[in-house]
Amino acid sequence: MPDTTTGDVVLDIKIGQRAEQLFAEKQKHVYVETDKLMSALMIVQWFVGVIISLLVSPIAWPQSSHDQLMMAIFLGGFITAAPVLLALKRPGETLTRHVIAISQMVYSALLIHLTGGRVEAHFHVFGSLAVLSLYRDWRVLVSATAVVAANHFVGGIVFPESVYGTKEIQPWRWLEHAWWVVFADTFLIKACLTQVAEMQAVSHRQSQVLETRTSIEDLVNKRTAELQASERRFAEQYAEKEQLAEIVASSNDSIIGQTPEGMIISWNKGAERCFGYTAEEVMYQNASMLVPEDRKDEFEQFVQAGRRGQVIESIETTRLRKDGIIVPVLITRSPMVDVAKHVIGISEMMHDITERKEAEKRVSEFYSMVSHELRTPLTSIRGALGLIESGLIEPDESADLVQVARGSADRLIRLINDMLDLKKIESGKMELHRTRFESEELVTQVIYAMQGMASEEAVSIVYEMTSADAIYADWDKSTQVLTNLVSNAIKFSPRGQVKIIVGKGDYQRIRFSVVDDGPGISNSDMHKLFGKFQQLDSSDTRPKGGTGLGLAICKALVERHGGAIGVESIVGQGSTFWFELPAYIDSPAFAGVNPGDTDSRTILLVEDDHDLSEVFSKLLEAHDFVPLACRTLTQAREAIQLAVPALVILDVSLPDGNGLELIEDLRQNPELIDVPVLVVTGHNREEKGSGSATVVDWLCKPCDGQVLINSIYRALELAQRCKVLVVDDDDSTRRVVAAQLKAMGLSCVEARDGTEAISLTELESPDLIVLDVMLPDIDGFRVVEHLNDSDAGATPLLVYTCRDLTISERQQLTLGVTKHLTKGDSSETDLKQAVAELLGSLSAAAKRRDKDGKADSFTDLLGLTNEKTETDEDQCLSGQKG
Amino acid sequence: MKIKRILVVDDDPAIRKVAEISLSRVGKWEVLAADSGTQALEVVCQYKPDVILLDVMMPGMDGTTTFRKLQEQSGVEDTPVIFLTAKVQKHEVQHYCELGAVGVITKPFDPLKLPDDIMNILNGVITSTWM
Repeated sequence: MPDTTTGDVVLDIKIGQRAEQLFAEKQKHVYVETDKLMSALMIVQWFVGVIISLLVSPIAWPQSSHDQLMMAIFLGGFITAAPVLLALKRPGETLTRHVIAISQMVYSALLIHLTGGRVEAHFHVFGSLAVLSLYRDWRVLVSATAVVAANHFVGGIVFPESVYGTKEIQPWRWLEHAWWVVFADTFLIKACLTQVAEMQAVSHRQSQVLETRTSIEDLVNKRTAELQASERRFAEQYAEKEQLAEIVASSNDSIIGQTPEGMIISWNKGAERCFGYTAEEVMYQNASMLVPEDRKDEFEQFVQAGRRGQVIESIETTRLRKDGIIVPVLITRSPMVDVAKHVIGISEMMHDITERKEAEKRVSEFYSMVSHELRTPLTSIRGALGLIESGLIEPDESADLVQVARGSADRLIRLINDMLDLKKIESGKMELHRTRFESEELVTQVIYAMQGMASEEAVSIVYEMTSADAIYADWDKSTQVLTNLVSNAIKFSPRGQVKIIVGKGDYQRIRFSVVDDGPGISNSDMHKLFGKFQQLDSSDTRPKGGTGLGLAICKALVERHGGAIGVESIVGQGSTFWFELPAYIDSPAFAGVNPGDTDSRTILLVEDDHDLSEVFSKLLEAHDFVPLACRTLTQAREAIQLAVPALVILDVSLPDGNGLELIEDLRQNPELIDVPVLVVTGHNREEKGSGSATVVDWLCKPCDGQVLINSIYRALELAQRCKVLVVDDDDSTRRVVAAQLKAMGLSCVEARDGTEAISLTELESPDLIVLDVMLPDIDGFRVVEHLNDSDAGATPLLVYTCRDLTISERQQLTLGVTKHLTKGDSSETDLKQAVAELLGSLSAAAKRRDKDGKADSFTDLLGLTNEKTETDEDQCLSGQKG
Repeated sequence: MKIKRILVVDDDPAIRKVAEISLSRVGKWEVLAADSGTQALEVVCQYKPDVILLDVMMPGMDGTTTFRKLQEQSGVEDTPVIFLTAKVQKHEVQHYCELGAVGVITKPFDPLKLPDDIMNILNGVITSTWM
């Protein structure tokens, strides 16, 4: 705020300035108004002068009355004209005022003259002075007086009759007249000054009023602005507070405001949710109503600590809900203090940790269960060993005890295996080896395996097929699931019957239902069944050799397959355990190969593992191929002498040598050089020798059947369809490129120069041309030019040259889809990638029937991606869906 | 306290076997065995053993229920019961002790020390074992 004194001084200055301004305005107004009045008066007196000259002059000037009239008209008009003009043109100005005063006095002189210097006419002088005093400017009176004095003085000497009415006058007479004028002036000037002073005083007062009003207005405006600003601030603070309140209100945690004594004064939605009380129910109650009996003392301590201003941070405790349930919470209590640091309230935040506690409890229970399950068989092992060692027992008992220990050890192994299995499945690390198989095959296989157990328990197993669809799943895992369910059913159906029903499930899945006529399961137990060790407390699993993890594993396995598992049961009427596995759906990708052509269906299968060979053979037969199974390298060598297979499936580790040796044999034989090879191996793909013949794909063992079949179809299609013309004059380069392309399963035609390239293109219609630019006879540019004019104009082209090509050269060297590679800068992978892409675009454009995105998978097939297995799995899945 | 006859109740035949041999050979006691709570009740009423070694986790009627039924049975309600359990965490053992049994023997146990442990529990030297 400004200093008061300074403020007053400033105000005084302002008032002074304002007063001067107001005074000047008033004075100007007076001048202008008086100017108007004077000019009107002068016009009137001009007419009066004319009338006087008509009436009085003939008496006063009998000889020259006509002259007097003329003088009244013209001289009077002249005297009047100047001031009237000035009053019109320049009203209020000093000059105007003085001209008016002088003119008025000159007119007085004229009037006196017209009346022949009559004393009465002199009164006009006094009247005029009085009227001029209306200007309230004494200087005007001085000018006027000077004119009167001059007139009397000069007139008294030159023409006394005109002034005094006689020819004979005393020389001092003008002084007498002047004295009276000065006498009148004295009072008039005094009056002028007084009036000016009054005017100034009035102006000052007015100014004071105005300035005060202005300053009050300013003050009011200032205060209003301040008020508005503070209102805005308040609104902002209010909004902020609202937001905070909203945060508090919407918090999931309980936030409770309390007095230091514990009376609840605020209650948010979180608290409402957590405790079940509405705000109305708890407001102004003591917060101890939320505290269970065994925590009352603790709460009292909290309250005391709060009063002392201490913070209670993240303490685990319990609280009582409205419905009487005790909930575990994490509590934080912070005191709220006023300016003087007095505790005025407590903000109590509580986080419901029920879920965390439950999770902790589950983990703890799981460990407890695992410990229990490990200790139980260890008890008999440890016991048996201890007894045998002690020598206190008979030899026959000793044998019994060894058996006991062995049995328990086996159980321990099963348990650990189950646990690891479960962990593996649950963490998604268990690989599934999906194949296509008949659901009936699975059922009969499991029934066959379970027959022994069933007859021991005097249970009969029957099955019913309401759908005969094939399954696409992991055979071993499917067997495991069904076996587990059937074995459970046998255990719970003493001397009864177990029935397996196969039918259609949801989402193109096949449902296997295992129905027993056992005691059934209560609803409350049903949801526990598929948990880990859950059934141990109340079930009969353990004495029958189970680990308590069987159903949990089944669930995990089925879910890993994208299937479902469940149970339906009525107590006293038996249970139905069911699971669903994906049905096998023919992929449209396989439509390309003609099944009738037996020559193209022979596949040489070189695999020493009997079981795997059987599985592959079955798989191949299922797809109408003719498998030619060999167990050894020697057998395989013999086989390729007898017949040309469409494809070779090759294991690397064979009893009599490395399977890759067979590839060498194939390369040596012109008839066999183009036969594609699928290597199925436990070895890593990277271990293969580079450029090795016609290896199309490396599949890792254990190999997914569907992946194998996909690879076979692709390889056959490739071998049949994709022919590449390699044009290079350098023999070694050409051969290396051709070998690399053959390794991709492509067939190659080689040309040494441009002429040969053109003729071979016409003859062979290759799917792709790999072209060098520098050729001995006609160079690459001319070859492209020629081909562009021929039927081969749309053939994909890979320009593979040592030269760095300019953009215009690149444009010239363009056929169908074209890529340019510089030999020095590109690796084998770059070359293969480019070829795959060019052929891929060919496939995409020309083979629309291939709906499941073969153009992309083409690249995968050529081993250019690392995540082979996953891609293929995904592909199989999409194949099924399609 | 002198023991002549002891009853072992456990659903696991292997453990039963080990315990039987241990108690008969090392402890030189007459050993009765039962594979369930129900069977145990029958045996107790019929043969009146001096002490009962009772497994907790058993299918059907579990150990604690069997114990409660035994206490309701007139004539045998004073027979000391020792729980035999593979639940060995402190709070679990404590829980079983609080049920009213004279003691808890945890699995696995040393068959050569089992009779001594039982005697120590019965004589109030210890309330539980741990191995």
